[in-house]
Amino acid sequence: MSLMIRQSLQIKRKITVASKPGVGFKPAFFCIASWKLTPLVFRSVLIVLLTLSGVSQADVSVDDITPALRKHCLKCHGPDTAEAQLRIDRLTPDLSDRDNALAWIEIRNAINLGEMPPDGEPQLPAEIIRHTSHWVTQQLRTVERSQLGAGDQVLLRRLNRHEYTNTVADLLLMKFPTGESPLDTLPPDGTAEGFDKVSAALLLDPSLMSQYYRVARRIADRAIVDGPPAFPTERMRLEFEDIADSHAIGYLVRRLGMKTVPGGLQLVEGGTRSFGMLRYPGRRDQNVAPVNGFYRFTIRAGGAIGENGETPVIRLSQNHPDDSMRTIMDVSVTAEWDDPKEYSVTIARNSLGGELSIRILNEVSLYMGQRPGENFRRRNTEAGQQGDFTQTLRLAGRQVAEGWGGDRSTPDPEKLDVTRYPRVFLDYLEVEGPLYDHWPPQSHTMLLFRGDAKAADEPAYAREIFTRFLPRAWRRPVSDAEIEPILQVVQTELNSGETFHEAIRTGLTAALTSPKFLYLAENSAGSESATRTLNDYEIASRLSYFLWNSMPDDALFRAAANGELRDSGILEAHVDRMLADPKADRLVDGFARQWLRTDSFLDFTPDTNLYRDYDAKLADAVVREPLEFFRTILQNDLSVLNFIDSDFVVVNDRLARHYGLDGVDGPEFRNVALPADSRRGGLLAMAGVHQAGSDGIRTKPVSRAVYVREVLFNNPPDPPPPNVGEVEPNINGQRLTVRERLLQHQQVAACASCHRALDPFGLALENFNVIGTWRDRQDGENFRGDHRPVIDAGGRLPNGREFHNFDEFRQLLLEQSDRFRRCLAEKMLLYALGRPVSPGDDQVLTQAVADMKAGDDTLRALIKSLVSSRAFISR
Amino acid sequence: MNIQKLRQLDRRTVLRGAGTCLALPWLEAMLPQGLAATAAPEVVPRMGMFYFGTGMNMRQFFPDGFGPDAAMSRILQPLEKHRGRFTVLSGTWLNHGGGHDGAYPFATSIARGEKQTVSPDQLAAELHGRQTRFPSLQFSVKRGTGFGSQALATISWNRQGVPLAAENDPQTIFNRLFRPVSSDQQARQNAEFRQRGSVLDAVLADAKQLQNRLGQTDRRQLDQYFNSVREVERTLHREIDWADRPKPAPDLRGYGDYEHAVAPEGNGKFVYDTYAKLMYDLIALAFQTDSTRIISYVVRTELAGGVYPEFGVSRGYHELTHHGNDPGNLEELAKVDTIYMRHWSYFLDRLASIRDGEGSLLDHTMLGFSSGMGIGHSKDTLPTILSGGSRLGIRHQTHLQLQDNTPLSSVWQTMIEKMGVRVAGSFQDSPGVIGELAG
Repeated sequence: MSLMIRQSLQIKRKITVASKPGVGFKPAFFCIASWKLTPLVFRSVLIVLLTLSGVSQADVSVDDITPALRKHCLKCHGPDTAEAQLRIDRLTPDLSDRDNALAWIEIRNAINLGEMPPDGEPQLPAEIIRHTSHWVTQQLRTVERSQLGAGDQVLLRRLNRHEYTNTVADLLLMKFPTGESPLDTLPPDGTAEGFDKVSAALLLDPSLMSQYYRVARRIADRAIVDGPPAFPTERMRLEFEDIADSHAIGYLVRRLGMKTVPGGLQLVEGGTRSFGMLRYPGRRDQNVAPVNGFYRFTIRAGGAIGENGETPVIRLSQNHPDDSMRTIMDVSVTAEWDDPKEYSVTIARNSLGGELSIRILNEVSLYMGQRPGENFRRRNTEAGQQGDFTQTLRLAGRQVAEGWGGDRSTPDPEKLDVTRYPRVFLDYLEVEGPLYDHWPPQSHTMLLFRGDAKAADEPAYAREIFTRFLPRAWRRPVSDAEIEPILQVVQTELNSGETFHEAIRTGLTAALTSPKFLYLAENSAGSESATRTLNDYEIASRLSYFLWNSMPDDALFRAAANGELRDSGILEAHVDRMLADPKADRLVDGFARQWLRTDSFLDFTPDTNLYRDYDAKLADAVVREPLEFFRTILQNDLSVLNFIDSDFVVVNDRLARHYGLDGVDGPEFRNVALPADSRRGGLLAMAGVHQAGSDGIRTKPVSRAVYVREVLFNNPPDPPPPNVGEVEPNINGQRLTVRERLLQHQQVAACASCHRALDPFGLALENFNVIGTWRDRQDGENFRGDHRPVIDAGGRLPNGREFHNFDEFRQLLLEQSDRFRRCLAEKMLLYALGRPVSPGDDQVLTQAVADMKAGDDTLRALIKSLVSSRAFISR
Repeated sequence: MNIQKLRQLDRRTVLRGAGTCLALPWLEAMLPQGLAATAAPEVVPRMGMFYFGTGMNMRQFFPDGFGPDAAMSRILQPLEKHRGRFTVLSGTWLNHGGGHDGAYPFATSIARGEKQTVSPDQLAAELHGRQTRFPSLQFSVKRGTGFGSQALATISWNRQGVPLAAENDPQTIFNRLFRPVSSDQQARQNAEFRQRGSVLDAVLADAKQLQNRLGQTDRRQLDQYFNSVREVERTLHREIDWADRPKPAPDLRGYGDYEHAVAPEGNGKFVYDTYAKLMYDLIALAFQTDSTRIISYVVRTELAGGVYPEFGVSRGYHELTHHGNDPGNLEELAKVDTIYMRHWSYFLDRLASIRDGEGSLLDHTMLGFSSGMGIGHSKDTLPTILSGGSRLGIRHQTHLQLQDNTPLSSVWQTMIEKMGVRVAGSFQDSPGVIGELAG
């Protein structure tokens, strides 16, 4: 009896606290929330409740559970006693009612944890516990979804910062050097359901508002200029034969790795700098860039292949306080030694940089690790510090005379003939910049389309300028009345004695700070409940922000003006046209990055003591791989089923080495066919996914399982009961595999049903270790030596199908390809419309799945299906 | 309201004969300047709220015993010299959160995913903000708001429940607070004020036009725009109001180099130890110069970062918090926590060294810090400490045992009531101020 009271009190307290206003349900414990996903819905968890299949999810209704709850609970939680102020008989199935929902949550949690019914009372059948848990969770998710949007209505929303930046670039024909882009200035956007496209997450606060103003002002300053550029484009050239005359190079050419040759410099090891011989005219520092902008760097070089067949690779870099700004380009010098060619790159630089240098990257080791050379250097330094320069000269002389080289150690006598190694002939290095595609910039001539104004003409000219500009900026026809506020701004400036340019700049700032620019607004007055077909301009914007993450182009505007966009045939023709445009690449960063959650891949850093192969290049490559894979599929109209299994991978040299693939040279990603016996292929064999589903020292199969279910099937598991722990890591002496520990966990009745349906999706990937290397035996954590347990990646899917290894698992997933198609369609519909998917979308999604199957499963087929749906052109 | 027309009047003339015009809001905003010019400087209260994401090693956090003489734990050892100036609070918890969701309910008691409400610092800012150049400041190790993700970058929320973006670059903050307006800027300033006012007028007109085309639901979204524009207008008025007064020029001897300060992102030269001191010193300087009285600071976000190379530990903070009872991990966790507390002690040193009225700046400043989780990702056993404010009536007692599961909001309520905010009815889920501290 006392136990009952205690538990009742506990419930009472919880409910009392929980019924305060503004309080809602959140599962109290997310064990491993490494997937930064779906922030406003339930996130990944290690211990997750999930109903075992057998009862399909839709089958459970409130009528299945209430009779049992009444039978077991009404005595204490009914009209007579109402312990914990809870009355079962007063509950309704409507979980959008907050207090009602909180009571249901409390019930679910209490019965899940076995707190209720109390000991000594008849217990609920396991099936009822499961059904209740599932029903409550489903209802909550539905309610949460509908709160995110207003049913299936597309809401007014502001542009996210990617859309903002792209729109400005397209609107004003601008490109931004690093640090000058709005993307660098505007803060990161919120996300809902994993995407930065949903109104509920795209809030606007005063600080963002002031940022919008400041950013718009800076854009206006770039858009309209006064007079010639402050820094005209200059061409600066360094002839490497001139370097030989420089005093500075003396110590370098004493080394084996570098030698002056007729017309230039030979490089075998190490590198050369620009030695102050390359700078923007008039600058006192070593920098070629007087201002933030774009610069073209050109190296004329030839190369000789080494005995080992290696092509020489050189790197041009700049001294810079920001690490990410150092490398300018890497060049495989394929031109012949006696027939040098120019290698060029155009790249953003800013005024913080310093001297340039060129280094050869091939490893040669011309020097042996010996002491004497180093001793010379040390003694030389000491003598110098004591001011004994006679001694320093003497030592330097002896060092050369005795052949200790200019470097830290002794030349390897075996390697004195450097012609055996890959080497490079450097002719010259040239820098041109800052580059201006046009001066005045295109934005300037586009806005001031008639050139400069005559004084008397200014107000009329300003009106013409904004009459032309505003419809593009606001993406629709603009009435005269709407132009007035902007012209008012211009007039105020003119009245205050500002120049015409400055007045137009201020007007431009207003146009870009206006809600008509910042928001994607569709007419919604008066039609709250009734759906209506969008007008052509609204459709044009939906289409362009979907495929390009930016404003419509002229062709779309023309089609809108001609009233063509409600014709699904014409719409699909635009889809083809737009996908062929380089701007379609923005789907990769906009959609794929968020769908595949690559931003979360590096949340946990692998322990470098356990995983010595892991390095920065690999980290970079594993994040890019899924995105490059998506790009390949998009650009080549390949089947999306390749995400489940593929006979190719898209990798660079580092990743190819990681996957044991030969013959991949160079840092660029490319399509590589897999040998028949390869374990790679498909998303789930990508190392980034494995790393994301690990905590640095061990794999986390449940996290991986959640990833599989959410990313491939959009089927998030139910949240765990509150206060469950995570799977305990091995402590001293224990050598249980993660699988064994999970199985232990499955012994707990409350956890069992869910985990049996969830864990297999992650355990199937157990052959991939923390950094995605294939392993047959357990590694990481406390596992070393010969007697490590063999990995068992087998299991049974909730549909009863068994698999024994990763490959069979992948084949079983392929059998569920319709579920995958639907998942992808759901994610893309959300991305396209900027609202959560609702039950009303069922038909659109079913059609999309059918269209994909009929259309070779390409992304193009999916996109066309969605675009030609009723949902896409109506609201 | 048309700033243009008002600007065409000589603002000083208006001010001199202001008696009849005070109903105009922008003049109202100017009033404190007039008052401040005549009133004698007085001692004012300040407050700061601090978030240490991802919890701490709570097994080595709490002092041994309770009351003024409780013995410092390993992690709190660096605070020993400040005994009597702080109180460790045992028993605090968050009603919501748990896992990495704790940053959301931290200041407001409202769970992640729910509509947020105004945070306590902003309530205090409503009261004190008009007397300072900045009503409040938001600092963070991460820029922006981070809204939507678990790694929230701010703990301040306005009346609309919108998160207020935080700044993480010491140089930017320093310039905003102290960099004198150059003569060049001064010359442009009036034009800049005029342009900004004029643009705000125009976009407000645009917003009203747009509103007419929208239904109820969309209008509610657009309300954020209206609110933001109005807030930016208020800021503009404040700037106009403060424009004639030079920014304070504090004595910077003994402070770090703000000219070359490095922000946490994207630069190999970042050293956390330097950064932490620069940021804490900025708070001290901002309080000292009465540039603001209210600051919130996310010292460490959830999930990401928290450990830097110079800490000399083997793994990231988040990796370490998944300690799995491994003594090695717990040891390193405690080591990192101790480093953070050493910085905290540095901060208290600084505040205690600055004279303010009859006491020190620390005596007139309340600093509340805690986390969204304790240890093992639970939302109870939070690392909560209230520091400073002795002359504001805080009675420190080194280690105080609160009732189990005392909501964190009671700490905030204690602080804002001492700031002079009157709490009508209940405050969040707080059972009231903490009597043992508030006296």
